Amino acid sequence: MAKLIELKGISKSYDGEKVIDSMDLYIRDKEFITFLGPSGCGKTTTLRIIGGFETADEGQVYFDGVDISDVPAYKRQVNTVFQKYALFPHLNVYENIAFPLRIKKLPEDEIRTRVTDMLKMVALVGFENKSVSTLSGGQQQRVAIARALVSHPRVLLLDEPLGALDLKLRKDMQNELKSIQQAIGITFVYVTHDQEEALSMSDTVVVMADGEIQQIGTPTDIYNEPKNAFVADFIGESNIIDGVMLEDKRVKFASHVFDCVDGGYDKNEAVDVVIRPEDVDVVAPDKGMLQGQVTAVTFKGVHYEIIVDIKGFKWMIQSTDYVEPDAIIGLYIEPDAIHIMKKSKYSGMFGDYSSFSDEIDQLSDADAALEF
Amino acid sequence: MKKKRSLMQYICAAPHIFWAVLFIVLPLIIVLGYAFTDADGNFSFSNITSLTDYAPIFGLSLELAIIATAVCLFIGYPLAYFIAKAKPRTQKILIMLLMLPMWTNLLIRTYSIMAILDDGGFLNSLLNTSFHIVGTKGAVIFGMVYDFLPYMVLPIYTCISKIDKNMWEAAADLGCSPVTTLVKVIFPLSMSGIISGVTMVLVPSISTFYISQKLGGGTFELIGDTIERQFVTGALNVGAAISLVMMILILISIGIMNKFSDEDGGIIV
Amino acid sequence: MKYASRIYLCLIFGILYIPIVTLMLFSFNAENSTAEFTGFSLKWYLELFNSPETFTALRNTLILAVLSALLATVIGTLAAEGIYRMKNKLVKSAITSVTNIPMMNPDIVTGMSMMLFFAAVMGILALVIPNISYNDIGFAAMLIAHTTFCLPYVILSVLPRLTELGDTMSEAALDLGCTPLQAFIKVKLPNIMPAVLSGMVMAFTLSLDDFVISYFVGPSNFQTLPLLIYSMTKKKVTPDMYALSTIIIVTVFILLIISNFKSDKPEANTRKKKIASIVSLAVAAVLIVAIIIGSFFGGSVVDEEGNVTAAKDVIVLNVYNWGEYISDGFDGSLDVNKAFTEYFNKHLSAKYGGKKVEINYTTYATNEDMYSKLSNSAVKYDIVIPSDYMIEKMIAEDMLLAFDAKSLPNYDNILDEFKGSYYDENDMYSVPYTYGMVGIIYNKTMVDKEDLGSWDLLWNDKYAGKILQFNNPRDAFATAMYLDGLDVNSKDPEVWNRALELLMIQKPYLQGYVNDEIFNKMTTESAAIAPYFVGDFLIMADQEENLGFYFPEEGVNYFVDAMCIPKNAEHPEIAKEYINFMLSEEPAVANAEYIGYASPNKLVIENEEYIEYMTDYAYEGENGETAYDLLYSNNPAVVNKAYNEKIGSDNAACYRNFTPEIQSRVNTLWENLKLADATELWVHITAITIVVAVVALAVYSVYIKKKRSRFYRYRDRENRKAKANTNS
Repeated sequence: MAKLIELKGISKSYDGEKVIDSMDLYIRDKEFITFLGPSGCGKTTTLRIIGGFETADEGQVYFDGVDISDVPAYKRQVNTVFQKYALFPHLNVYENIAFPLRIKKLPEDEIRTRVTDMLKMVALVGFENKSVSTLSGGQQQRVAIARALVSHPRVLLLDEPLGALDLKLRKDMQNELKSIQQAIGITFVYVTHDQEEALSMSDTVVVMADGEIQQIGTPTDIYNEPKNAFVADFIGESNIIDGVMLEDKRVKFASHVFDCVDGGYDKNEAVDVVIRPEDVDVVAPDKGMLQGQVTAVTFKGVHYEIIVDIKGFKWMIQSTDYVEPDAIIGLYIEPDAIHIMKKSKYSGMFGDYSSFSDEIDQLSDADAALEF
Repeated sequence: MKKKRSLMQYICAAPHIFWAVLFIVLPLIIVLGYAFTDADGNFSFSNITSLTDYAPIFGLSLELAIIATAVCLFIGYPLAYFIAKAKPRTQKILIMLLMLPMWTNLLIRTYSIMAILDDGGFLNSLLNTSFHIVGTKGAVIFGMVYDFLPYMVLPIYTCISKIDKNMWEAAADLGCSPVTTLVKVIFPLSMSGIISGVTMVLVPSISTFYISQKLGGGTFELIGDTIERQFVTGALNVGAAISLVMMILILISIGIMNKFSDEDGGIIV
Repeated sequence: MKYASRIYLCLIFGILYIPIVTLMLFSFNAENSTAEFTGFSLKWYLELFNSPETFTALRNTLILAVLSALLATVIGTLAAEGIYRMKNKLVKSAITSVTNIPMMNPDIVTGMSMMLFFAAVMGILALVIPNISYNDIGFAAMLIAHTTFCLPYVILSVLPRLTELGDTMSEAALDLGCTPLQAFIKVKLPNIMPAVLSGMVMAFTLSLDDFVISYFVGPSNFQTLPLLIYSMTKKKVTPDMYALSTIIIVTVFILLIISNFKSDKPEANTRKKKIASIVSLAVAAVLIVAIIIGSFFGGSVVDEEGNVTAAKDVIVLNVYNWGEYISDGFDGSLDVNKAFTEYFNKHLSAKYGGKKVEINYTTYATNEDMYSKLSNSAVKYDIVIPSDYMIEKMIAEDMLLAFDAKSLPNYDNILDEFKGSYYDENDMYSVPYTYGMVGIIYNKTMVDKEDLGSWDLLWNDKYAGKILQFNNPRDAFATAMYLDGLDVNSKDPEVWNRALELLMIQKPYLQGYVNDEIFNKMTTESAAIAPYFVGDFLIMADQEENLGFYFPEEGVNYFVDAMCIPKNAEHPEIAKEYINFMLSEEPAVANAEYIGYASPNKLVIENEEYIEYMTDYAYEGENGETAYDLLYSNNPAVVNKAYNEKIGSDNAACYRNFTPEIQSRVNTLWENLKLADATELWVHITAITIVVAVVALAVYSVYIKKKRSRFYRYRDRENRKAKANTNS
């Protein structure tokens, strides 16, 4: 797949604060790419620079090999689905979708065919004459998508389009968006702070933080091979422990030497060790590689979430078996469950569950939702 | 609870309802009474029938008011648009500057215009010319536009500045150039502001009598002048009849405008 | 685009500010002109601060604006809450529509309806309280009227905020144990406060600026600033009004700057802003209170020893006079009203139970204004100064008090030829104040000498566009009637038709029909020829040396303005003292010098100082006559000899009271005159084009909408039909 959009050395600051710091990125044709990151990481700004609503302070945007940095939004072959849809309240459903075609002054017959096709695609046939303000959130969403797609753009930008929908609707729309993308075969650039959404829909995920790209890769890569503590923590739950690489495939952490599958580090190099909660097996204390005391157990439906204190460091373990609080248990870790990362500026900031509670998690979610 | 709620609403609204009935409705009924009686208090249609004599004055007032309103819209819309597009701080200053002249009494402002534009006024004596401006219809229209322009700009400005920023971006995204955005999106969305601006300029323009007296040079009369003259010469019944007709005409036209703008929220251009 | 918008903004704001800047400039003018800047001076500001009339008006305006804004805010906020809670859609929309009437209605209609309403109220009150006057309820009427037209703006400001706020907050308050009242006061009110305040400010400014409604409703004893300005602009705005406007606009500007003061650091912003807005509010409040208190203090009677007399011992004498028709202390002249108060309080107070007197002085622009004020709104005045024909009319309508003018000690000062005039043969009702004649004012540099002498100068097409005519039917028709030797008091409609013909012929040559604007237009040389009163001419001559004057040979209007006491005056005895005082030498001379009209008072004509003043006056006739000659040597009987003989009466040139038939006839003819070719073609064309364009746009928009939606509207209809079928 060819490069369709390329960002070269993009920087942008607001009021002296850097939002994007010399970013390089390319987007391939027909792929579903997602910018994922917490609020304020610069993902929306990046999208707006691609859309033409913001101009970068430095750097260029190429589209199909042509520099479009100075091309205004209305001349770009890129359409956007806005977070709050931005439907035109003075037009009904049909006219909203027909709007870009009317701007292009297409013949009435063609407008009718294309709008009707779009309505079919988003399953809104029969709603033509409805005022957009009477529609539900999901329906408005579909109108916004239809309106953005009707003029056959080469790229569709979606700015947290599902943020305002409830959970059930969100899941449905995720599937629908993915199938639309596959059906019409154009590039989707998707912005979200929801890692699950990102993993389930995307071909490529771009994890961003503090105006920088942390990692680019397929969802599996991102999950299994996080590049640093930030990515490991942001994508799913992780225990991140300080470790020392003794030699290739041997790492020491929690005063225990483990076999692992990674290599290529210096001897005795300090590293971050990532162990996903679901990869730890609970065994009898004497059979485990590590021993610890259970401090909390929460029922989560599919599994129990167990917090274990191992020499002062709190681990999270997901297990289908129930254990008593205060019990001493043993932990068993397979070598391929151990993922080694180089130290980064995020080391030590994440991955300890000593102050963990569900509430804090929700709070940080709410924070993220505030980002527009 | 439900009972309490309904009680509260009437307690709150009661003073106002009382006030409105006594000081808004009753006076209008009295005007109605005057319009349908002669000077001796007998029921009569003569005031209403005599109104045909005033049709040309009505016509002239309406025409001048329409032109003044159109000019206000023509000048005021871009003004409101530019103000709404300025930086927030600049917007504040510009709106302040727009409102400031309103603190000078309308009479003084109008008089000042007269003193400037008069044949031997400030302008002519400054330029050493002899433009004859005061006394023409154009001068009256200018006066109306000058005095009522803020009434046009403010509602439109409020309307435009309330339009979601996303609307502008969505329009650009869907292929509108700035001009097309203005015509196809912003203009229809600011229709309610335009309607209230037009109302707020048209109504005082139709009924003004000060502006026409000072800037019209007295060679023609507007309907406001006629009512004032009736009032001064004590012909209250005819004055009441003219007021009544004017009121009805204005209320009807406002009704039509509102109806038109409410229907599906605007027009398609 | 950026530049275009900047240029546009600059252009429009420039035009918007030209009149404002000009009036600011002229407030510093050294001369009494609003057209020619002759030098920098602060005298208009001094004049302003020395003018009790202005200060009283300013105080009244502020009191009214504050009270009506408060009242409208309280009622309006409650009403908004009530309307918001209303569930019955019909009642709700009915109430909002009625509320909006004063906002939608032209001011003039609201004013008219209010005036008729209060007249009716007076009618009812008079049955209960026999001696009530409109002045007693005048303030209340003004307050009610202002509150009424402010109300919709408050509601319009508060209601959307209430809707936006919703019920959750007050429900939370109720849940936490508030009573509904507490919930409203403690929770809702603070949240809607910005909207309430902005409604109040709007109400305040509206009330402050209102002229039209006050004009219809206002009583004689409560003049607001706009009313004062109106009575002034009817004559000529002196730069002191400009000075007042300048002060107001600069004050408001400074207040706005303070309240918009913003620090550059964003974190300090809200706090500083809050402080700034509190400061500006406080400054504004202090200013308003200071002006109100200050002018109250200034308005109370302070005698020489500085004893303040309590209000109940003060008699307020209501004097209703023509604008600029009394010596008011300007430029070192005698302040006659002040002189009377001092004189009365010193010498006459004892005679009236130790009471002090205070003068409430208001002005009118025409006899008809005065008459309608007196007859319509039941306003009580103690002194009015109508013209001869109006006195005749008022006597006939029993509106004047027969106080026997002859009995006044100073009545002997009146020249014999002004006693026993036709309008008041037994000198029972009136004492002559001034007299004068109409003549033609011309600009010596613009008019050729050989064209002078007759009324036909006003019909001379050589000066087309430079001629002015009276803007009232009586005086305007008279010019034509003198020219043609017609009887100005004719009862024959044909005579009036003939006069109309002449005026129609004249109309194309006119620059305009004007009243007191003549002052401005002649002194700025905007016009070359105008008929006007000789006394006023002298004032103009003082300002513009090129002006000349003559009495047309065909005959001219001769009038007397005389002091009268209305029948319903509250203090007729003191009014008599006032009239008597006006006849004494010092005030009479001061008035004669100030007004410039001829005086019927012996003491004035023979007063050395006056003769000297008039002889030295900045006027010289074609044959070297002085101002004194112009005023006193042209005896009306001589000037009008030919005319009087022709019509066959001694006072033929004087106006007599019209019968209602002739009055309405003249009114109709006057309207015809105004309507003749009133609308120029371009006005029609432009207006029609606009209307057609708007309608076309509307039709086009509807058409396009229908056309585009045809196919699915058809389907919608089918669906509805199908639905209806299945249902049935």
